[in-house]
Amino acid sequence: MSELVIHGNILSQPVRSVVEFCMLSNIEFTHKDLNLIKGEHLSEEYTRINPFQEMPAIVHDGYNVWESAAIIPYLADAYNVDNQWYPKDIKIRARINAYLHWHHQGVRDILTGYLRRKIVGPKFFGAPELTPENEAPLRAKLNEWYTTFSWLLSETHYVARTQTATVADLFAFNEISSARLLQLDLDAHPTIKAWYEEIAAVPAVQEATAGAMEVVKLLGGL
Amino acid sequence: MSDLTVYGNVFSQPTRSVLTFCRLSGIEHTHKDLNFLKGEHMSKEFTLINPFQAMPAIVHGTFNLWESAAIVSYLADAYNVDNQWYPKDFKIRARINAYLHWHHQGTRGSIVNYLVAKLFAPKFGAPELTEETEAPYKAKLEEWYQTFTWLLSETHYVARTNMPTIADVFAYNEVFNALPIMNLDAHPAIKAWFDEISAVPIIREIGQEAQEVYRKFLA
Repeated sequence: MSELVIHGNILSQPVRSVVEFCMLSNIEFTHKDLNLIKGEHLSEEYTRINPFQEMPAIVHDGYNVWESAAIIPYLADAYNVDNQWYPKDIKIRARINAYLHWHHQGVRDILTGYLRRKIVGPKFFGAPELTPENEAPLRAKLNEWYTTFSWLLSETHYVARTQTATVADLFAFNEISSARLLQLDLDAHPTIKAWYEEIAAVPAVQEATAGAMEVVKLLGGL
Repeated sequence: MSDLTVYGNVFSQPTRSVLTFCRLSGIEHTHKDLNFLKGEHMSKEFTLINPFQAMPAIVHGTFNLWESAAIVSYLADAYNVDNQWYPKDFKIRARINAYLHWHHQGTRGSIVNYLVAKLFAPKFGAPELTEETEAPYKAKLEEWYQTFTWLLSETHYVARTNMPTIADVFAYNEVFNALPIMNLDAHPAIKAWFDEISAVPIIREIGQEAQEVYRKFLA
């Protein structure tokens, strides 16, 4: 019997991506929460699991793996996954992996970077509030991002330029759903909105996102 | 005649990583150079190959692919590679892939912006860096030396593997291009690692090709 533990808080976008992938691939797992605000990611125990002290990380039959986009192919291989989310077809995997590498600077940096400086930092970590002067370049980058992301979706309607939604779309979706706290104007970007609503309707995505919303509520809203 | 064409200039760090992987793994390929200065990466033809207009990209049969790290993983599977650089063992691959994802901001991000601002942008009309404008870049690089030394401390290789892998090649190529702005002598763990990777014959050879391009550009 395989034993898989996913470490991380459901509020974390890459944690949600890994959890959703497991649900969609019928991979049984235990979810062990990590409270960032309490610094649980800095404990000696967790540092042994992920020396970078970030989330998510997994422990699978005693083997620890970190970096959400490295966890996915590892689990796909370990559990013999062959579904639309991460098929065995190496050409489709290559498209998915190409997206996942671009994702760091193409999506997460821009959206979550802004979110951290605008809301998370000041509210939970004592960071200074953003001045309008400091916010302007972040907003400009976001506006550029809408254009780039619409272009990305324009070929096949999915971020990895695949014929169906894949785990790449989950990664992108999770960043954007969290970033909605920045008052993202999806109505003005119909290509993005249509894609967003399609991914939002996937049951595993609904479940994980609802879990994140619960945490937001417990934190007193953002 | 090879089924595989690799597009890109040998001076580009990720292009070099892909070419190095092919040579280390005995993968036959045609290398099609792209002259960045002449804007060849923005041609209609190349845009069909890589809509992001960046290098490297490959065409394997009729399949086109971009993103160096995705290319390495694809070629390893397509050509049934099982060597120290990217073994079939998916536990080791997970370590390598984890490094390659971290690499974008962890290594390349900390180095290439400084390199461009200091050595390349001024050649294209941007203002030279002043002590003030250079300071944040220097600080980021200092931080990188600490982080990278820590990274190497577990097993002496960047992916925390027991032998050098393609992850070390990716990191190596970024450092190689940035030698003019770096001081490896002050960081013995990094220097030892760098010298070890430099000594791999194929890596040394392709490094010399890159040096030629560098020399011509900086001249």
